[in-house]
Amino acid sequence: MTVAFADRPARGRAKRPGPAPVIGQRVKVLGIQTACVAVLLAAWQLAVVSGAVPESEVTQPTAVAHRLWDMLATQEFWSAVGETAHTWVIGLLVSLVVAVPLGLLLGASTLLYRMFRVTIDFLRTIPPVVLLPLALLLYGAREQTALLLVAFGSVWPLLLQTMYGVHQVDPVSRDVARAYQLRRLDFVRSVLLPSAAPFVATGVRIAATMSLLLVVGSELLGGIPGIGAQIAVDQTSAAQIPSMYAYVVVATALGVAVNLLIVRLERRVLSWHSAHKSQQEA
Amino acid sequence: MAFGSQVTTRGLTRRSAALALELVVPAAIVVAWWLASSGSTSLYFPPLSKIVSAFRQIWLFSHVGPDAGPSLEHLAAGYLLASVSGVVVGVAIGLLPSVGEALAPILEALRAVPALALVPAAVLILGIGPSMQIGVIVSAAVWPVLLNTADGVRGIDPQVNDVARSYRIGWRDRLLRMVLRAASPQIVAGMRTALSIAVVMIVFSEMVGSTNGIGYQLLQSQRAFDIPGMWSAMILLGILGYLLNILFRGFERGVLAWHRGMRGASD
Amino acid sequence: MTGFDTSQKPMTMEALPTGTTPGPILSVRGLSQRYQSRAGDRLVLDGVDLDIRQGSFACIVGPSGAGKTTLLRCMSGLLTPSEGEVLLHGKPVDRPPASLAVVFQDYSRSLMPWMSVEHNVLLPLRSKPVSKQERVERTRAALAAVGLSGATDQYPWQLSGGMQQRVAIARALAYQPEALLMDEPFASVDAQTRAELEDLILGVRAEFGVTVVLVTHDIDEAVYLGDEVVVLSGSPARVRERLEVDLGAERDQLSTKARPEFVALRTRVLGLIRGKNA
Repeated sequence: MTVAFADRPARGRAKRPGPAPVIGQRVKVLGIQTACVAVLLAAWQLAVVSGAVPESEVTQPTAVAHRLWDMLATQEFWSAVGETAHTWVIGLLVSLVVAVPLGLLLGASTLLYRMFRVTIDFLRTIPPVVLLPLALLLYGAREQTALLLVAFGSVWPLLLQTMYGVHQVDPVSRDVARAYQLRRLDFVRSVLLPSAAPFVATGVRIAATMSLLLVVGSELLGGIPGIGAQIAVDQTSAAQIPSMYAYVVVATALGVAVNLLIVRLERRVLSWHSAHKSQQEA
Repeated sequence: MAFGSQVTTRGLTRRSAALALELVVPAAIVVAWWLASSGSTSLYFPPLSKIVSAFRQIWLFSHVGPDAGPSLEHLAAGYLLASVSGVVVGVAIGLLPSVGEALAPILEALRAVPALALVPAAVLILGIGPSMQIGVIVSAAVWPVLLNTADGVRGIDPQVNDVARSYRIGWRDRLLRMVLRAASPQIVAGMRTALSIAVVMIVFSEMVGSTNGIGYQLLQSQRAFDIPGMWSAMILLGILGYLLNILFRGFERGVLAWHRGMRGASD
Repeated sequence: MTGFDTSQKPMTMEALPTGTTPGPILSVRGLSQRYQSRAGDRLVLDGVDLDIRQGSFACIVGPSGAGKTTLLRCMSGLLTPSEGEVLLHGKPVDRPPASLAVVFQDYSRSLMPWMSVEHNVLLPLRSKPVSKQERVERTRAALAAVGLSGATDQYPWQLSGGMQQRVAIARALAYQPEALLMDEPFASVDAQTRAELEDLILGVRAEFGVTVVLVTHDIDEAVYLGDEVVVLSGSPARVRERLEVDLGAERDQLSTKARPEFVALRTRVLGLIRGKNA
């Protein structure tokens, strides 16, 4: 039987050896991504240099980079970053300590959950910045103000995620625990906490992002020492506008770094979970 | 008496008991607050009765027009703009995975920018006023919508595509009746996050750069040491946030009725 | 009982009596398909040649994983083969043509869960140049033909597996194709429902005169339903043989399957599949 396209190769897929294409593929993707970033930066630079966007409002990326480089050598810079990081970590820890036990309790007890559901629903929709004026009155332009906001903002996602995690405990695991008459402490330690852990981890990630946002925001508006305060000060003087943008970059970098860190930590601690999950989906 | 019917006395009692259970804690909190603060001489925690009368004075109804109105208008405008542009760009990225992959680091970096830190820059570029506020809302709220939409579109069952191609379904129907509907659970989840972000942004931007709005009132009361006024603005914002949430849940219920039904059927 | 409505007027298509020999409606010439994997290239189909007669009910049978689904995807225009071609009325198929409709195996994934039954059937018609009235009429007739007139406002997940597959069949019918391509359509339902659906598809074919190409791994099903059985087996898969089914036009779950001709055919097919599969 004659074949119409006998000389046509197998749909553009030439025979290629094993693992090498995978690495080659990754390099290619990385290259394209870098190129896109470069194009974006170049466009930004061009927009400012050509005058399309006034330099008094938006600084060129090269100027920002230069200023950032200079700032890295100053004490002022590092103490600002230190303040922000400090408040962030403490705030996150406080909300962890409050939200997780509470979440476990409310998740486990249907009665308590239903009693507190409306209250939690209401409190969690309050935009955290609403507390800033009050906090400023109570504590002034000090770290406690920012801490109050951060703690209030981060508690809710953590609480909700923990409760959700408890609800998601596999009923089969519960049955196993009851069948083998596990003590309550053992149940909590060996079944409940590990099952809820992935959800708590997601909550930590959400809370971390929100905390950074709130720390910087309260520093900005409240004049509390830190990255936010620097931004607020820098925006007032034309010569300092590049520094303002530099600080924005720094805050972003902090956020990205912490997110990566948490993801890596999550992957290590919960390695059993991702493996377990992928087996279930197979 | 009909068995198992909701209209039995026992059924009604059970339902009102359930309702009472849910409301007892909030009611108790309000009562406790009222009682605990009634004789208060503390500067920052005035009696609840004073706060309530301040609320009535300010917000019902003299300040609704000049303050609450603009706040809600700008919030709505920013949120809608963020949602629409997030969905449009998200669908484009989801349907073109190579584009999504190329842009991934840029999107991740932009998403990670703490939006509140950008407000001074926004004031520089857009000045003080509605366009700055809307711009700030969009710059923060677009990300959850965009990324969730892209995720949702990417995760659509390939069979849906097979059906669309095999039955030669037109691009308009494919987009509106298949792609968007299939991704809608994810899109709505993104819109929910975007709503709470938008509310934070409008309040903050009003505090930083505005001449009216609820957030502006809140800060002004604090600066003028009108403490009951400050508290009443806080309560108003809390109530508004809650109401918006309830509205959103209604929206979600309507749009995702099919999804709930489907999940319920498979349990 | 099959449950389809024989009182419905047939839709505007000629019902061809089986046994006449018009030219092939669908042809496959030298079709080969290669898949790229980490271990190298894998040849799934090797030089498949097929002719499907107009009005015929052709069953392609072979073991699971033999490449039957791949073959059907190529025939329906969803996949362009590595080599060879598919011809519809002599013209090459490179994208899904308007005169073919596909019924997929997994009904829960091929029906849109956010649309009612009626809208699922209606959806492909919106892209066809027919009036709104005609669309509604076709949808109604198709759903009646599969016995689901009462389920128009229900959602797929509210229906049983068998009913969902009927919706998928109704959707294909409303499309008024010349040929119906079915990819193991009854593999995901229980045996009882499968028997009902088999009779349904026979009735539908008799009523509307549409050509049917059905892919299955179930030998009994292939022999019961088909006018011809194409045996696909081996790795890479080839057409082993093409058998004419001489069981006549009237088929019945009880009596047909007891006939000696049926048993002989079935044995022959099984032997073909097994024998060359060393």
